[in-house]
Amino acid sequence: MFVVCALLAPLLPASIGYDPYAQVAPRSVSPPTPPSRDNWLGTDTLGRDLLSRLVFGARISLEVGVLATAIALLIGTALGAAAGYAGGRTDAFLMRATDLVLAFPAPLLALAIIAAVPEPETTPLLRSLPHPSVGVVFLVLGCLGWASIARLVRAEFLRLREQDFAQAAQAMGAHGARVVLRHLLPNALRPLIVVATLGIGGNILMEAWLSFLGVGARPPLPSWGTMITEGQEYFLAKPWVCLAPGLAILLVVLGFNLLGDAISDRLDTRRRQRVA
Amino acid sequence: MSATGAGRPLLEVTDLKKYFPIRRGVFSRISGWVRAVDGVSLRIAPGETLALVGESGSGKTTTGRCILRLLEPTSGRVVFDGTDLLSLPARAMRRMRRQIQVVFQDPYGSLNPRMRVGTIVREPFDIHRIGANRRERDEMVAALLRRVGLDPGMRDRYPHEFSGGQRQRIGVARALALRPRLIVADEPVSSLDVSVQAQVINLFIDLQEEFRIAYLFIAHDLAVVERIADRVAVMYLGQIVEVAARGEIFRNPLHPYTRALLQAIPIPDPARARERQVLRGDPPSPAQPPPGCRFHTRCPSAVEACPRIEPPLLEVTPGHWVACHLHPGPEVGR
Repeated sequence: MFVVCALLAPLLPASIGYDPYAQVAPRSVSPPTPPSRDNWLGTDTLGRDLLSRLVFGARISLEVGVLATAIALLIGTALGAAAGYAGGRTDAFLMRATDLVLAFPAPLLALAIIAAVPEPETTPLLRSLPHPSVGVVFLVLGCLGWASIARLVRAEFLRLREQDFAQAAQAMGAHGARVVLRHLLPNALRPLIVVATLGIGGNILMEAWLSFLGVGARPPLPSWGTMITEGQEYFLAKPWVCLAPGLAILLVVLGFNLLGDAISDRLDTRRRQRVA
Repeated sequence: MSATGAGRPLLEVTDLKKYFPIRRGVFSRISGWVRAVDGVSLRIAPGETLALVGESGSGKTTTGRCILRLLEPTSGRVVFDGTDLLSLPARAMRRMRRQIQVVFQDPYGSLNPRMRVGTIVREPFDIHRIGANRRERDEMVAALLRRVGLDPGMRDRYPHEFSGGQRQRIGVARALALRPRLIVADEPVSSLDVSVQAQVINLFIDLQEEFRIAYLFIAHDLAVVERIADRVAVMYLGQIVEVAARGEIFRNPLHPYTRALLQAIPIPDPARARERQVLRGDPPSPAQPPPGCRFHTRCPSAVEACPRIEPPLLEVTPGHWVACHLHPGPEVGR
């Protein structure tokens, strides 16, 4: 459902006439207003419509969550597959590398790296992205998140490689790539999906946390993290300014976990047949 | 070292050894070796069935996997139709694999659970680019499925929808696809019901007659082997202790271990109950095989020489080889 929201978000300003950047009221710096007929969730400190910011924030949060996880998945699966299938020295080397990555406290490392990147808007690689400040976040989170995925894939591959069907494929004369892509990877998919969807949730949380600390999405970009930051000073008096994005984060993370379960159920050939 | 008929053997295995390292401690130092296969030699003639029999842990499966080069042997030679398999580079080995196929014991683990049956059986064709196009391959798959007694209409189903016997037939169809000259059948019926066992064994026999395939038929009991084997090799703790033609093994077993295995076959007629020599204890660990004859710790008729001297595998009568101090070969004499 949130995905739908995010996809529809660009239509929003045009269709309903709400612009997340536009300040509705002339009172440009004032306490947030409570929900009203015009602004369903009220407005924030700068008089911007909260609902439309929330919907746009979904785009940023999901973008970070999905892209960061996709990067992590790509690196992690490639390295984990290489380690698990090749074994020996390759395996030992890659696993020490993952240990190294896992040994760092990822949130702090991400914080440090992101803070160290000078002005994302002017960095060559990032400039081409639609939101440079968000780009840094998902690149860094993606590059830090692959280690646990690599471990999982390696463990699955070690288990599957010894199974008779993988041995049979080898005995038939299949080359390594075929064994990996057709026999090992499809059977490692279920745990991978579960971990990936959990990862999306985790990365959304991480993005919110980083934005909350002021190193993620930069104002005026609406990300759920920045919205919480902006709302915190009114938390006691006008809690909805914080609660709305907070609740959104909660629901999205929950939603992704449920989605993971659903996909993994669909992937189970046995269960699918039983239902059919 | 072992016997076969005249002519060039299809498969000749010489002094095959496979040791697995035992690693211990933080630095995974190698603290010992499991001698899973310790000097096995055998020959299989074209179209012949050699049964490899022994209890769990005797190294039969490891022998089979070394021949298939699913495991790299520690030492020894595996010559298939004049080609030394162990020295083949990866590419040539992949081509050679068309000639040697495998059927596994566990019909649940040997089929990829995420592939449809038709795809599983078609995979050998896909790998070796046999058949002009997809349709032609699918027709070949249908023919194979029919040949092993399955309805080709079931090709879109997944392996778990089939019974154990049906799955084993799927495995056989897959092995048969490339028209191999040798199939290593690793306990192909051990996990099946007795009635289904007979059907699958009959299938193996029929296919052998039709396609003149040689089998290395691995089994853990002699009863299964009785119908299919031309010759029987008995393994104990990584070594072959006796080889002979099927009839000879059943009529005139010489090695005490072979006798014990034969006596373990249940007889359906209670009136014919025979004296039984039940083997005591478990086989010793292949990490520390007993000195001398490896069987002496459990042998009912061990003599003084057994714990000291390892008996060589000798031909006592033509085609009948045994490694036992009680049966020194004619050339040694006594």
